[in-house]
Amino acid sequence: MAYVATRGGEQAIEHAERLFRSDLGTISRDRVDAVRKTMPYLVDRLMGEASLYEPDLAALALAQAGGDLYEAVLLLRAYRTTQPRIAFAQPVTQPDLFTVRRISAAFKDIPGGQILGPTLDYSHRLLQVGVLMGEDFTPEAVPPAAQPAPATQPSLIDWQKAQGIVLDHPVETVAPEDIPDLTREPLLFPVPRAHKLQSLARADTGGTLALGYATMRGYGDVHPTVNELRLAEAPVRLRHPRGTIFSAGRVRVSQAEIISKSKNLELGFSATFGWNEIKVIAAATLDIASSQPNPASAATEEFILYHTEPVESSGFCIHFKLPHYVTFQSALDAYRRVKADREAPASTAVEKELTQALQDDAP
Amino acid sequence: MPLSLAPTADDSRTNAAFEELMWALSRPGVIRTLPASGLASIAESLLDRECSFCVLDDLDIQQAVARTGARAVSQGNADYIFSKIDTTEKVVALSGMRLGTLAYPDDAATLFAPARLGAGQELRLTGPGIKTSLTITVDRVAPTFWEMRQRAIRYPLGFDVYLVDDDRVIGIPRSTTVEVL
Amino acid sequence: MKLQELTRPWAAFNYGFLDESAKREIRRRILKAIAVPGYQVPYASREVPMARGWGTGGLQVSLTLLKPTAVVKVIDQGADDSVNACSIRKFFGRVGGVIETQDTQEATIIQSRHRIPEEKLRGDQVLVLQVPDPEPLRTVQSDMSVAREMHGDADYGQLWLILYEQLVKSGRIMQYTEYPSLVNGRHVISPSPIPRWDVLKLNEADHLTILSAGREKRIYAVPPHTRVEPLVFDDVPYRVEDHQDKTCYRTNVTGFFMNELPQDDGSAKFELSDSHFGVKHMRKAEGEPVEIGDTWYKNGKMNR
Repeated sequence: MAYVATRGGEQAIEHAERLFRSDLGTISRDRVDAVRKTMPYLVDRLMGEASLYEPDLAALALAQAGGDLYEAVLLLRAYRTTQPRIAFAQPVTQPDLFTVRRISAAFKDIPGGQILGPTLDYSHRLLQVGVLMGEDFTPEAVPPAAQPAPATQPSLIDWQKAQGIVLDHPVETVAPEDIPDLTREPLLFPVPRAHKLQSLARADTGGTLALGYATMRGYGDVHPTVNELRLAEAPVRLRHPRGTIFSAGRVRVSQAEIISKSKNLELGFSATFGWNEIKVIAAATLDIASSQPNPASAATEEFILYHTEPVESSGFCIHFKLPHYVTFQSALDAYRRVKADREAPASTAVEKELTQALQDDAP
Repeated sequence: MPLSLAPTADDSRTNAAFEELMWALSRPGVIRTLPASGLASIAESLLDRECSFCVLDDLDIQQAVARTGARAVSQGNADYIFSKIDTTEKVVALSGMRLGTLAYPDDAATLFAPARLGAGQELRLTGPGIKTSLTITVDRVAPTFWEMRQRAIRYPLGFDVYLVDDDRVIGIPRSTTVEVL
Repeated sequence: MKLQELTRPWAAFNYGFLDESAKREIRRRILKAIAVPGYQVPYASREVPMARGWGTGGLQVSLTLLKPTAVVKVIDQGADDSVNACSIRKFFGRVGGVIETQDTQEATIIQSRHRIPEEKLRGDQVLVLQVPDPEPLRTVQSDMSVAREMHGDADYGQLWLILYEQLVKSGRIMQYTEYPSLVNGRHVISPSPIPRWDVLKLNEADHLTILSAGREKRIYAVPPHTRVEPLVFDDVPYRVEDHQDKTCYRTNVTGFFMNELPQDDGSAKFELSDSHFGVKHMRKAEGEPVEIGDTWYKNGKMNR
């Protein structure tokens, strides 16, 4: 065989993958545990974008991808694909949440109280360079509160709704098994609200922030106030085929209510797996922005939901690395032809006709 | 990575049933052979909790289809309808089948009907999947069915039908023009 | 019913990677796509272990069709050994244990990006085309819900307008790949980024073509013996790339779609884009008993 078809494509990709993996070295259970324990916020962000809550799998994905977040999301989403959906959890309402942090910017104090919880919001962001010199950075002890905060908190928006001051979204009573599931059916427009919130829940954090920030800066008529922001653990309750409801554990969730003060007091909402405040604040803002009668072009439902999809956007972006020489060849052909046409006098009857028609049309 | 390279018996059966349905619809009127006889093998390859069905007058099939987890609904709401069409009454009962919308013509019903293939009424089929035309014979289909079908289809709106004779099947998508000879 | 009945014995992954519920959904959508040729059927398009834009749509269709006796050919830009084609083929081998081939005539499933092989496909073959953007109206209407209504009304006037504008501006129709084509006289499709050379191969073909866009979540199909007509004006004929007189420097074969290879001296060489078609010609020239199939193009002209 003089002309061997395999010009190294197969070997090349095999070796390229080996190069990448050899840089990372052996992925061990210890490494995965270390990722999980030391980077809970990264693991949370990943689980939210992957819409799969399993900290061990998420930490494994991060370890395997060497921290490349988009690769890790894809790994987890692809794994998720292979898992059957076997049950529906009972809906969770705000008073069900085991809340560790709950703040409102709308009021000085709120029923149930403001609970700062764990946050760096008011810390000084100083790099602890001493660690590199061998001095461990050990966090100071947390003094126990005189009285423990209650595990659950009432809903602030319920108070506002009772006052009749916030316009609520119409309540759709849907049986749990009839809630449309974005992971089982495509996004179609106009979107059901469930799909919109699901799509935002698994949106790319950075992309959601970029579009949310554009809205906040004035692309669109939304003036956001954080009505309530919560970090919590949500109980996952399932109905056993025999009818009893049992707890299958808890998942970390974040949720944000944003109220826009532009026309009426309108409510936007977002919730996601894991603790990821930036994402839920931006997403809840986009929820309101995209519900406006004439949203800004970067705040329409289609624009937001399509362009914040982490797997689709990152994949399409990197697909431009693939060979495109057939399309390029075809384009080259078209442009060469035009060049040749311009250089040579019109020859065929059709072209003469066309040239004539163009001259006739000329002003 | 431990990957399963061999399909289970179920995998193979549902895969084969689908392949036959795919070719049946790609070449309307050409008889294909299913891996098992009857409507149940079709149901298990296509239906699950994510779709709805309606079975008219056949308890066995009703139970077989229900095992897929699909929701039983009225025929006007069903994605998949399993029904005989050998009498005008049964054809009339199907008149409310979903035909899709112009934006979503796929939001239409699919009908699986028992019939006898290779005997009876002559039909001439033309349309996509057929080189020039194809003449077939089918029995146990009421002549009014073809009238009803013609009235219902406003392409691309319409329904797709499979005629199933034991383990043999033909597909007649809405894109096919059926002429009763 | 018990919880246990809804599950199955634990296995890391299913045959063909996708689980049965994912496959069933794709089966249902494929049948709808065949029933309404050229209509874009929305589907869930679950994530697979490859990035979006890398053939995940075609992959899901092929995985659904996969069986151990399937003979699979995967090409990218016409080449079997292109890096991504290798990666996809390897995946089929890993999760499906299928028979791999490079020979168009041996394959039962051909998954391709940007090309249709030069040898005619048979009635028992399925061509799966990877599609980046399924919407031919995207350039004139970015809002998908409006574009969908336009398809519903067969409102394609703006596509003609674009082609006319190209004629006026450039004196030529400049649409190079993804040439909008009318299927079964009703729905306009984007035939995926195949060159104009290949669009004609879809018309009244013997084989079944399934086009699948993973990222955009749409499946559409061209069944066998279905009209596929590129949009053209009566007085400006459809023109394929000027490759009819190009000769492959490796095989000396003339009259097929070529890759242009820029040379150091400023000139260019050409080689057959359909790589295994080239291999067959070379083997035949060396006296091997190779059977080259009937081709769509003969002497650089589409055989009608």
